[in-house]
Amino acid sequence: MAASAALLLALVGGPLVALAVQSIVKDGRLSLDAYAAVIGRSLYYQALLNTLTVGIGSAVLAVVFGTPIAWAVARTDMPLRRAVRTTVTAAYIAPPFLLAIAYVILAAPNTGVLNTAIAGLLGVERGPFNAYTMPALVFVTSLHTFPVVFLLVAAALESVDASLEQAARVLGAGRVRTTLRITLPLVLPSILAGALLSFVSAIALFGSQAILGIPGRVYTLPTRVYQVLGYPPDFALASALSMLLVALTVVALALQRRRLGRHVAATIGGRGIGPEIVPLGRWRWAALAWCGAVLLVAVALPYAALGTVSLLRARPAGLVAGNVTLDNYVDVLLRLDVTQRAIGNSLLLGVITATVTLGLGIVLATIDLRTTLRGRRLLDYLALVPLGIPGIVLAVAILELWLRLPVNLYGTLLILLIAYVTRFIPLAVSSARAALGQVDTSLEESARIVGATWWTAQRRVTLPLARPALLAGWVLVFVPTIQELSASVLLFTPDTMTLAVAIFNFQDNGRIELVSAMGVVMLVLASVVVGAARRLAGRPVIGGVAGVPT
Amino acid sequence: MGRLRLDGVGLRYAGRDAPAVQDLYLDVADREFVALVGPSGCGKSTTLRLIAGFLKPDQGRILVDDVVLSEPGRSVPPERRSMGMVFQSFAIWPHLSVFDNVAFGLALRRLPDAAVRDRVRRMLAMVDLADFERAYPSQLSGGQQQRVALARSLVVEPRTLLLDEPLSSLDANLRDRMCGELKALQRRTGVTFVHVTHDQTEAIAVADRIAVMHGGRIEQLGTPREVYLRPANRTVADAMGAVNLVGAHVVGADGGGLTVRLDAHPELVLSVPASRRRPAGAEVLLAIRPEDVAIGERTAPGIDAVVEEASFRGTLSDHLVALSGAGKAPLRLRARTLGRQLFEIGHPVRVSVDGARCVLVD
Repeated sequence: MAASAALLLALVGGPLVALAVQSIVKDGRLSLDAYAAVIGRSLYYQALLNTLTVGIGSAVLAVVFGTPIAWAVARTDMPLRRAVRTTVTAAYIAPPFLLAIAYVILAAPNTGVLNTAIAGLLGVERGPFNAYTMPALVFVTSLHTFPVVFLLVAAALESVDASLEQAARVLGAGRVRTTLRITLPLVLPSILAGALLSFVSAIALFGSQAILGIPGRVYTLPTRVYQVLGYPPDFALASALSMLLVALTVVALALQRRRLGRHVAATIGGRGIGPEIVPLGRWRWAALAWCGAVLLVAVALPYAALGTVSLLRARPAGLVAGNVTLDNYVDVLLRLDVTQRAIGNSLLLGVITATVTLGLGIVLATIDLRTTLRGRRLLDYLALVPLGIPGIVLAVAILELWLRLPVNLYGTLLILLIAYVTRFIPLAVSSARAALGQVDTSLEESARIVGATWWTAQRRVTLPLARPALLAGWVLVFVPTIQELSASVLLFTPDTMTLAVAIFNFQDNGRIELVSAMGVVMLVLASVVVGAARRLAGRPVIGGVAGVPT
Repeated sequence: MGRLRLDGVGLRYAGRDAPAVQDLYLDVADREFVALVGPSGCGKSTTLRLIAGFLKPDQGRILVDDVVLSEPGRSVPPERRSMGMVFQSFAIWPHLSVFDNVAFGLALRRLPDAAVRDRVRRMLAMVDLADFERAYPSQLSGGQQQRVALARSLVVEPRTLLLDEPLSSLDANLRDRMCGELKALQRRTGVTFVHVTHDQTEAIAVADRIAVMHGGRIEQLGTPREVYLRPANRTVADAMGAVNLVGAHVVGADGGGLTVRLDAHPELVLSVPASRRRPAGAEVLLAIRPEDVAIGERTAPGIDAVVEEASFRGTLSDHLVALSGAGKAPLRLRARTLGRQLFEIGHPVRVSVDGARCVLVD
């Protein structure tokens, strides 16, 4: 208990204190100069406005994209519901910066595939799209965040007690009126929660903002932080900008918690009556068309573009005989030192981060669920704090903390590990809590009473029963770890290059064919791990072995 | 082997004003079957968890065979108490077969494999599950899971078996049968049973003695006949089943009892047993079980009444009768007859009450 509390405090509290101090101390004296600069100079003020625009704009679009799909999948007889759900979930797992790179391929001014295609079709000189603008950034960001809205709203729609709606129908309300007056208000908290989480996720997406924003001089808080830490680095200014970003995040998360707390009890009736399915008739195809259109721009087009370009010798020549090659993959996997090292580092960090974080999560969840120790609520809260720290801010804070300490970690894999463990503690704690929470305490107690010590009961009963869910939690940390960019981009050195950073740097240098191949490699790595975990966990652990006579 | 004693046990949960349990004194003899009965929140499950060692008392002591297991600041962990426990959810481990569930506790005791196998098989045979040792819990019915839970707890030969609402997740027919099986199992194994239930008929069916709990205290401890027929107070009378509680005044003494007049119906004068004298004019509360309120046709002796509610329950019929008296509101009594003696609503009847079966509960 004490050890895990101390570790949490060091991981979470230490960097934050360093960050706050750095932002208000100049030359050893208290100073608000950095904040004055942020508010007073239009380029930083503009970055704040741009960040808000990206956050709010993409949250609105995410609701527009996600809510109808959630309703169609959860509550109607639309065809292909399962396939739509799987694809939306997959879109959520894919790294956002790959989406941004794909949209560079698709919609860069003049050279973008969509632009040349439309120009060719209409016989005009140039196509209409420009990926390096604020609207494009908002759009591409929402394509990454709309699954959050989808997942929350679909879950809420599925947990609405059907009798609440049936009661309205019996009283004479039609299907449309019931949907608008009963169902919609019941899931409104989830829609708002989805929008707020989408906002929080969007404003922290350094990768998309750098890839789409910087070329068009659309700067946001994360990209300004990145910029002021170039040469010569201005840590005070970076800290003040970071604190601003933290403030936005914390406000949005606080709003989300309050909203969610208010109505959620009413939605979950849980008397075993499944939700009522609305027959759409001919409108089924309209619903499917909407889902298809969103998934076309969010998944099919971008990943088709990425996949195709990864097979080309030179992108401008296009998909013609003689230009198709596997050379890019050979380069990435076999020839280039830097990409091989990056892949190795990412896998190593992924495995260690997932294991360490989940271990810590299990300890914290056990303290919370199975003990009545004083202060366990506080511990729980502390473990959630990293949700409020965008990746690039965490990197700034960790740099500042470790630059003050006598041990030099900069340039080691350890500093990346510290950043990753801190970032993903909330994921691990909530997975571990869900996993252990589903194992009823009485299962453990009945082992104790027939003679098992606490540890034996954990080892023989609780952990085996929680294993599939714990494995899922491990994957849930592993996948974002190997895709982590926004903290890594400030902490890496050539020796500690990771796959995501390598992709980002190569993109910056215009090597789009190699970048695409690396992106595909990253997606394949993530899918392989997810698939393997599903096989392992999908084993009928609960429910007995087939073929036992009864 | 197996004498369990609670000596002034009390526990207050952190952050709560009222103690969860207080002043618990209970002495369970070796091989006795005791039931703790009461409404939800009365502290009966807390008591059981204190005995098991999952909770630690902040007052009093818990002893088995004069060895202190719990006292404030010191508590033997559950695994070293030689007890067994059956949970409401059964808590059968879903990842282990029936055999492995039952063998779990024996394996911990490092018995040779052959001995484990032998004892598990004998135990499974005793609970009628000999053919199921390779089955998994999800393949078993509720009653079978229940028996696995019993076998798992009993195979390690505990001194005491604790049962927490073990029958409440079974359907009614099965519950009746399991009551009989529990009692038989207890006799055969000679283990001390402490059984928690909210269902007084279940407690009456299984227990040698019943402790009626309310508000964290034991209100009465006695045989099923004592607590049902001679409840110590109105809480116990209420807890042990449907009862008419009516106010009366003492009008005189007679033999070993008292003569009382019902407040709501002065024509009804009863002579009731009483353990202590009371002066004439003293106010008393009378508990009358519905089955002790006799109703018959107008030709029968008694006081005129009209049936206001009647419901056929199969074996029994329940009635609410209104005794028309001198002005005021009529006295309403619940009356229980055999099922086939159902009276129609509105039917004129005569009602009589046998004073010898009434109990003073104030």
